[in-house]
Amino acid sequence: MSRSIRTDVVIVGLLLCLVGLGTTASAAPRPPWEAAETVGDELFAAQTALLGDDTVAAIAHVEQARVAAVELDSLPPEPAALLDRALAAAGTAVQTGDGDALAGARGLARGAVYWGSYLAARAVTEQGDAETARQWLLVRDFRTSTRFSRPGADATLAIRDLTAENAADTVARLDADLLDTYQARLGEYLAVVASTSELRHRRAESAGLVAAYWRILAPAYIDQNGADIAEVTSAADHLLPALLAGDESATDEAVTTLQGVLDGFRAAPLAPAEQARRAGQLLRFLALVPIEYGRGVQGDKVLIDLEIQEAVTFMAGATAAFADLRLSLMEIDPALTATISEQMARVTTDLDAANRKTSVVPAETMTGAVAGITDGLKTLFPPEWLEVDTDADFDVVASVLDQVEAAVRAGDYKLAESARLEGYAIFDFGPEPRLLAFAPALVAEIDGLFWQGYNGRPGLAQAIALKGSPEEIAAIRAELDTALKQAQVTLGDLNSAPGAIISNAAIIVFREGLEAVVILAALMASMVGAYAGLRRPMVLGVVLALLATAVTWWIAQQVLSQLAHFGERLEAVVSLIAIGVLLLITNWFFHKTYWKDWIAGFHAQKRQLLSAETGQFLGLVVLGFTSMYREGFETVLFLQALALEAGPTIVLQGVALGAVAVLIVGLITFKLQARLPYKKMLVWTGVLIGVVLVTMVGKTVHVMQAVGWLGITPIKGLVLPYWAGLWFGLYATWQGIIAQLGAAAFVIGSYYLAEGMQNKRRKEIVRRPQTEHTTP
Amino acid sequence: MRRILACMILSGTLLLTACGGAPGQQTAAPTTAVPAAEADVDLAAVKNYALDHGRQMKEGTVALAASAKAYYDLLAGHNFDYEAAWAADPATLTDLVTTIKANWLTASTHYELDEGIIAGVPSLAYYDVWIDAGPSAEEDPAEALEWTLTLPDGRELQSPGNFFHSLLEPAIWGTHGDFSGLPVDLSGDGTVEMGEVLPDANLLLAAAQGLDGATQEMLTAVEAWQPTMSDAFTALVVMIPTMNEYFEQWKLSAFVAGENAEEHAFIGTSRLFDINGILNGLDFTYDSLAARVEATNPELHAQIDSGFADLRGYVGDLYSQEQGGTAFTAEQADLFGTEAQTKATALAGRVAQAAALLNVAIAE
Repeated sequence: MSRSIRTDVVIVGLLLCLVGLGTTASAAPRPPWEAAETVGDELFAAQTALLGDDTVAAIAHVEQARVAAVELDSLPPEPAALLDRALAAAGTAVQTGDGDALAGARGLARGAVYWGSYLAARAVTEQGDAETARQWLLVRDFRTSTRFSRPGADATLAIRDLTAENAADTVARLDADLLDTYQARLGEYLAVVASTSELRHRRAESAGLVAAYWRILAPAYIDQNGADIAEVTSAADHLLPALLAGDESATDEAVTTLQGVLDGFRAAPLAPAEQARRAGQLLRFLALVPIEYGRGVQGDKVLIDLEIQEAVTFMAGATAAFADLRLSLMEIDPALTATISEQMARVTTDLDAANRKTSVVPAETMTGAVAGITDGLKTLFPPEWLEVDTDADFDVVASVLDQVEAAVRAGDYKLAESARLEGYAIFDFGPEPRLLAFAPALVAEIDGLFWQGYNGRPGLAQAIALKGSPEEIAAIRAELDTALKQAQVTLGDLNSAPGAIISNAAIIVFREGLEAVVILAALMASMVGAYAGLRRPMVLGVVLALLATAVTWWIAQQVLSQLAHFGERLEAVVSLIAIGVLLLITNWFFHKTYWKDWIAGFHAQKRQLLSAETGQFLGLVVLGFTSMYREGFETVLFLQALALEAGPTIVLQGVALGAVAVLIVGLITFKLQARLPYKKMLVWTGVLIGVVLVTMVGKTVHVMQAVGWLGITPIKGLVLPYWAGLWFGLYATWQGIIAQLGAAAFVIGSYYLAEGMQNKRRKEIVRRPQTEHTTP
Repeated sequence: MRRILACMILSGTLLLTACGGAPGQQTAAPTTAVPAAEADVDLAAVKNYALDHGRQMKEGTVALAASAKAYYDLLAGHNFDYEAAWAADPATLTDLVTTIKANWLTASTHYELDEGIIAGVPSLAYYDVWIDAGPSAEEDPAEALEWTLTLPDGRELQSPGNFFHSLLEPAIWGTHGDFSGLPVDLSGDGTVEMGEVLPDANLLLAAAQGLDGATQEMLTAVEAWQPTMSDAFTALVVMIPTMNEYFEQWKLSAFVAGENAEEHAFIGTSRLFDINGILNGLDFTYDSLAARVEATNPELHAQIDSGFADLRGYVGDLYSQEQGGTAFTAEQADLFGTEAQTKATALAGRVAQAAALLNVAIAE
């Protein structure tokens, strides 16, 4: 540096000191965040000036930074000392014209201020001083916003709610947010330091930040490991000098030491509930990967790019969840955790290759690889992580809905529909059963928004089928998000008091039991007199169904998660069998009725072949079984949610209560039914069976559409209220309405056919004696 | 009487229980409502702002499509022999290319002023990908939007990226070899410099008309948009933190790298101008939320307000210097980009705190 520059520097320095002293003496103290920003801005201005070879200006800016730093005199001693050290280093750097050293000093200064503000906020929070804590909390770093995460706000919310009574909890929330943030940022800055492709000033600034951020995390490390941190702190402190000296080997060594520490601990460990939530996300995202991949490839060729991209997205979600759990898993079994980590990396590589079409592994290979990971995780996970976690369900539903929107934007409505069905299936067998027990109105709204609409608002299925614009889909998505959020909040706030669980279980059993009573009453009404014996096989079917329901309960208790995957399909199959048998019985009912009434004199049918009677017997057993088991199966599924909430003992008390109520209503119904005049009962019974059949057909078509076995063609302009679907199986799709019309035509046609045949027969009977008479 | 009662019970029970209904329908649900924080915030100004610039952009795209058509007709008259056309009518072609550049700039400028909102609002973000930001399949097969541009001569470009920077700008300024017809001395100074080119007429016409159509669709979407506080906060948190990426594009563009530019785009206008435009839209958006934030946490509002002023002033100052003839080095661009990202990360973080305090969900 030349003599003239040195003289200028001295003069400028003296002037600034005077100005600074004057400023601090006369002006009202600024809030910490303003002073902190001034320190950072002035040091950056010094960097810019130095880059433009303006040393004098650079020195002046460093002095301004020192002046501003005086205002941060309430920082705790250690961070204050680190800040002084950083500013002194900045002073030296501008004197020697070393831009990289200045960048490093600036990083250290910023980090020191954040360290100090964290400690200050923590200290006043412990004292219950919300106002001062709020001031200090404004001086903090944030996680970088990414596709999967937004900057955390837990500390801000915790300080807002701070009282003298909850100070300890508030400190814990403050720690969780800020330590998580600083650890994430420390990892990012360490990566920049390690990257030789980054410019040196950026690496130097990051090295300064690393030295300060490590000090923020160090107490948590000592708490968790009880280890001596001198070596780590030394590595953090040596990073910047090594980098500035151009010693890449020493830099690497320090980075490795710090990286090893960061990989082995988490400053703000996840709460148990958060861990369970991440575990749920991980398994759900993983399950979706082979599904998407399988749809996207055939052999070694990519058929549908978007499916592969969805698989990549879900894998990224799984990887993020795994990263959050990795440390906990390592404590359980480090070898297996490492193996799973490698397996996940391999799957990610395979997906990336398929996405870029450089190589494509067969779908079966992908399925096998993911199954291997899933098996390993299930072995590793503690039992509580494997329990149903509805928050994870909501997370995955949101992610799948993202895929719906992405597919619509790409104009691929088929893919959007398949993603919609996936999202609905996750909701349907995840949160819905619990929600049904506690907030059925919300289920109605969410179901409607997933399908044909709700209260005049359009539904996703309808909008996709009509090729709605991305904005229309996004608007429905926004409504769904709101309803799903409300559902999540509702389930999170559940009052699991035993009384509430018992009454909800009783209501479910009573509700489903009544359905069975109606169907059985309708079917058995005609079985009187000579046909009373036909009740026996039906009752046998009902008893078998009750046993099957008990077995289903037991299975559901053992393998609920597996059952959930097949639940809707199983329901569709059982419903189809029920419809088939009901159609046969309806036909039989009309014909038999007329036979009985009008051809009572003919007893030929009494000599039916044994095989025919056997078939009739079996048919009635199956009818009794399917009519009852449909309800039993649904009841079991609904009750599982409550069983998870409160345990089977409490739920079974509700079941008993509901069963008694059903029994009473059933007895009254059958008693009253028996007193009705036979012909009127026949008419009512016929009508009831018809309505039950048509409703069952509508519901079954809807379930088949939900599992993707039937297409969905909405009826344009027709918006049916939710209750129409709920009570009568009426949904505004051509498939459902046509099937129901077909069922109605069958019932009515069967009636007229029976009547027509009867008329013809009667005429034949009337005519036969004459014919016989005239025959020679 | 009993008979009637029996019939009524049977019918009523059927109505109550018709197959497969939801159990517990009559249960009193202990639902917890998500508080709505929308009622007293008027976001109409944000929508009007977006519409205003959208309409001005549309005027630009209409003019661009018209000038591209005139250019196409002239070249068609020479059977797309660019050398013959240039030899026959250099003055008209120079005028047309100059007009085309001016129209592109008009459309682009107004889009940039809208970009913060269009790209940040989930229901509108599609248009940003299509019009301004999406990569081509060649650049990034994973992120490229699937669409096809059909040229008048029947050629089809699959997933060609966005209109402004993947198609039109490289064609008009000749930074993509396949999109230019012939390098020519448009300025008449005796040398063919960067940006002096006759664009491929087929590509230019298809892309200009496509952009005009896309702009109309975007405008329709903005007209239908009902802005919510969640939209506004999401736009801020999503769009503010992308400064590093923008500065990286600036560093690689002709404005910093000169003839060695790796970036095909941002030659017609500096990326700094775009960044300024985006921040302008976001600042406007924050203004409509400011009163609510201030009422909830005055210090946080002051910090956010100051953050916007700081970031806008910072970028604006750099742009003024660039316009004034300062040629920044790559190292300076990198330093400025790092600083802008630091400021942006902090600003987005503070906005996220405000959203949380107001109980407004930010879309993911």
